[in-house]
Amino acid sequence: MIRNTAVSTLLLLLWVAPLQAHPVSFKGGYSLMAFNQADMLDWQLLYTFHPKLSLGVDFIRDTMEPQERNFLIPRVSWLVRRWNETDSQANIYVYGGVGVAHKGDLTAPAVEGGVEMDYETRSLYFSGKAQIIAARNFNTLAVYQLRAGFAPYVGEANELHSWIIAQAQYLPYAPENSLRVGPVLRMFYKNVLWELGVSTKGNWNFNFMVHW
Amino acid sequence: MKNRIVQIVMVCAFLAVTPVWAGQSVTVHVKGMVCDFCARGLTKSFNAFKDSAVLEDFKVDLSKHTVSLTVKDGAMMSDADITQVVEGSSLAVDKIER
Repeated sequence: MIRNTAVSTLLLLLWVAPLQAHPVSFKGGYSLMAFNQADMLDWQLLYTFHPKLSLGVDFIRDTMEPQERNFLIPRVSWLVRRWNETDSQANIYVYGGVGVAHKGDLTAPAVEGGVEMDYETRSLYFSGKAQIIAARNFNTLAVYQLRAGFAPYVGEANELHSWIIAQAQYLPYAPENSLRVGPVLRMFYKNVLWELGVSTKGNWNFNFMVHW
Repeated sequence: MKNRIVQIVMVCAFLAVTPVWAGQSVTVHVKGMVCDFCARGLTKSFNAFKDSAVLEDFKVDLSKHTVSLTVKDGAMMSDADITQVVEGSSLAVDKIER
């Protein structure tokens, strides 16, 4: 318990924002985001109806516990603040929603809350994220994540962009490998982005995003 | 002399509020446009102006942080229109050059 709290606190203190979580894209834009690991997946479909707001639904499947848990949560995301500079951009997003949690014969209301921050230039990237989902009679699901990355080359518009990212992810309620550290390779071309990563303990992750 | 000064001031004022006229090129300097993924909103919005026969073409230049627009003959695109597109993508206009 003390170790979990210390690690959570350390991650929050080291938290620096930015980089492309983008739960809010552009007005009139749709986003499909899929974050996949062997024991958890998180799929989001979002519609940005205002430059600072999006509506969507978040589906999470967690197989870390012996019995699979599913969460379906409609949510609102808010671009709290964006700093647009000539050579950089920084963002703070918060989001929240109320939905349902399901496990076996058990169904309960669930709430989700989260905050994401990022900072990027054309060649550097930092981001942080904290996401928590709670439901009555369910163990809390939490994901804390920090990233730092660089672009080995700087791509132009309509070219393939590549990034090499170091990721630290902490899942305090995971029964094993709660701290997952490792590299992620990110590539994107126009409006399609994909990432492939693996932790030092062999936990893989594959993420996919598309905006239209 | 005084009349000449008044005439110059009036012409300058007219040019300052005149939107981009047909066939003109305009360069929009954008703040916050640091990645192609982030510029997708601009691309989608300016494509809509191409489809509606306002823009002949446009080009995003990430290294210069600009979007270059070419307005079609007989069409018009105001600074307000351009600003609305940029701000709709949660980016910011630094300046517009004609």
